[in-house]
Amino acid sequence: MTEGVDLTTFVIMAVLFIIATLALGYYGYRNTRDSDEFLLGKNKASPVIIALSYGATFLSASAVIGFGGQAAVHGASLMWLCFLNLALGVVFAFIVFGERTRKLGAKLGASTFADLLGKIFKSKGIRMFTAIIIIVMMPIYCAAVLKGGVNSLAVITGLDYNLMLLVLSLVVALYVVYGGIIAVMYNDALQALIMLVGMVTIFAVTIGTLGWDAFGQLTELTISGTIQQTNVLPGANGWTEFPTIFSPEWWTVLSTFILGVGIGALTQPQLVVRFMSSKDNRSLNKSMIIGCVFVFIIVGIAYTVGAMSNLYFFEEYGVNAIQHVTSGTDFIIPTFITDIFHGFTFGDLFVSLFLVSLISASVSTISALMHTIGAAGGYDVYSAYVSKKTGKETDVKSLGVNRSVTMVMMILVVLYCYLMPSDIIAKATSVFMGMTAAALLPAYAHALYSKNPNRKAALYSIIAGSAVYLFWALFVNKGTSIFLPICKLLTGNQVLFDGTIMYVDALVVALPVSVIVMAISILLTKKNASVSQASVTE
Amino acid sequence: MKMSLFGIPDPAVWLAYVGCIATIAFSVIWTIVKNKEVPEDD
Repeated sequence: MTEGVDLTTFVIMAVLFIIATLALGYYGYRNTRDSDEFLLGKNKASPVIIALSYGATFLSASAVIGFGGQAAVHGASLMWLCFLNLALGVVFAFIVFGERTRKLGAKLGASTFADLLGKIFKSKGIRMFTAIIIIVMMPIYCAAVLKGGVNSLAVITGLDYNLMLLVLSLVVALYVVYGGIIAVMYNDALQALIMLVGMVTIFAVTIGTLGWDAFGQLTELTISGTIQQTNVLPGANGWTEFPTIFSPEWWTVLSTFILGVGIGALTQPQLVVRFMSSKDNRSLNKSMIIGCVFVFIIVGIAYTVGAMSNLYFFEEYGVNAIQHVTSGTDFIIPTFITDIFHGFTFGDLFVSLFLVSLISASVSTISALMHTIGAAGGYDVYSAYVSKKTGKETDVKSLGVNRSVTMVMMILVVLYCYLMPSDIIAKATSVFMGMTAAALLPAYAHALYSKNPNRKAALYSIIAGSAVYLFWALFVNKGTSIFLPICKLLTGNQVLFDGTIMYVDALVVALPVSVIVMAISILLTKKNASVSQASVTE
Repeated sequence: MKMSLFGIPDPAVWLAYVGCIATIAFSVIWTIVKNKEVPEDD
C-alpha cells in the first residue's frame, strides 16, 4: 500500500511536526513549576486552546480511520454518532457537567476526576476505585489508539512498525512527562489545526471527484442491485438507509457504535480535566462553540467520506469498499485517500498531510490519556498510599512522582501494543467509553447535582455498573467477548446466549442497572434515615 | 413519498445532519445569551 505515498515528503513533514511538538513540550516544561501546574495548568489556556484540546482529545485516529471505516461498511447512519458526539459529548457535557465541574473542582481544590468524585462524596474508596478503573482500563484504550494509528501508518508508508511505535511513544512520553497538561493542551491545539486542514482537504477532493450527488448515485446503484452492501448483519438496507428496526444490524449500529460511544464520551476523565482547567464559565461557553464546529468537521467528514467511498471504489474497481480493502475496516479510509489523491497535483503533499493528521489525531488522544493515567497513579493512588503510611489524611502533590508514574505507564502501554489483536480501534474505543459511562455516569451526575451526595449509593452504582458491563461484554455480546475469551474457556461457546441478544451492547444494559441501583440506594437510605429520625423523636 | 436530502432518501439518516447543524446553532445562541448574564471571572 506504499503506492501513492512519497516517503521523502512524508518524512520531512513528520520531522517538522515532531520539532513543533517538542517545542511546545518545552514551552509546557518552562511553565510547569509545580504539581498543580502539571495536573491542571489552571488559567494557562484560552477558550480556543481548551476547545481544540477537548476536541482533539475526544477524537482519536479511531474517529477518523476506525469509525470512518465502519461508516464505509455500515453506511451514513453513523452520522447519528456525530450528532451524539456534538449534542451529548460537547453541548450537554459543557452545559450540564462542565460548569458545575469547574466550580466544584475549584471550590474543593480537586486536581483529577477521581479526586473530584472522592472529595464530593468524602470517600477514599470512590476516589481509589475511580483511579483504579483509569489505571487498569485506560492503558488498554490508549494502546488500542497507539497501535491502530501506528499500524495504519506502517502499512500505508511501508516504514517499520517497531521504529514508528518507538518514535511516537518517545515523543509523547517526553512532552507529557516534562510539559504536563500545558504541553498536552497546546500540542492538542496544534494537532487539532492539522486535523482540520487535512479533513477539509479530503472532503473537498472527495466532493470534487464524486460530485455533491454522491449519496444519490450510491442510493440508485444500491436500489437497482448494481452494488451490494456486504460484511453487514441481517437488517442492513444500504449505505443511505437506516437498518430495519430491532434487526441484528440495527442493534449493532445503534447500541455499539451510536449509543456506546455517544454516551460514553460524557464521563471521560481526560475530558473532565479540561473543564477544571478553564478560567471561568464564559470561557467554557466560548470553548463549547469551537468544540462543536471542530467535532462536526472532523467526525462528519470522516463518516460522510467513509460511506461515499463505496461509490468511488465501485466506479474504479467494480466492488464496494470492504470488498476492495480486504485488510480490514481500519484500512478503508487510508486506502481511499491514497487512491483518490493519486494523479492529483500536489497529491503527495496531501497524502502526507493526511498521514500527519492521522499522527496528530493519535498523539493528541494518547498524550491526554497518558497524562490522566499518570495523574491517577502519581497523585490519587500515591496520596492514598502516603495517607495510609502516615496515618494522616493528605493530598501529596509531587511533580517527580507524577512524572515517574507517567513514564512507567507509557512503557506499559507500549508493551500492551504487542499483546493486542489488530483491527480493534473502534471496538476498543466503544468498550472503554461504555465501561466508564456505565460505571461513573450516574455517580458523576449525582455528585454534581445533589445537595447531599450519597456516598453509599454512588459506590453501589459504580460497582453494579462496572460488574454488569464486564459480565455482558465478556459473556453476552459477541463483538466484545473476543477481547478476553473467558466465556469460550469456561463454556466452550463464544457467548452464553444465541439470538439477537448477542448484538446488544453492554452499555444498553449496564447503564440502566447503574442508574436503578443508585436510585434504589438513595431511596433506601432516605427511608432508613426517616425511620432512625422517627425512633429518635419517640 | 419520503423526502430526500443530500441525495439521502431516508429521513432516519439525513435528520442526523440536520441535528448536527441545529446543535451548533444552539451552542452559539446559548453562549451569546449566557455570556450576557454571567459576569466575567464568576
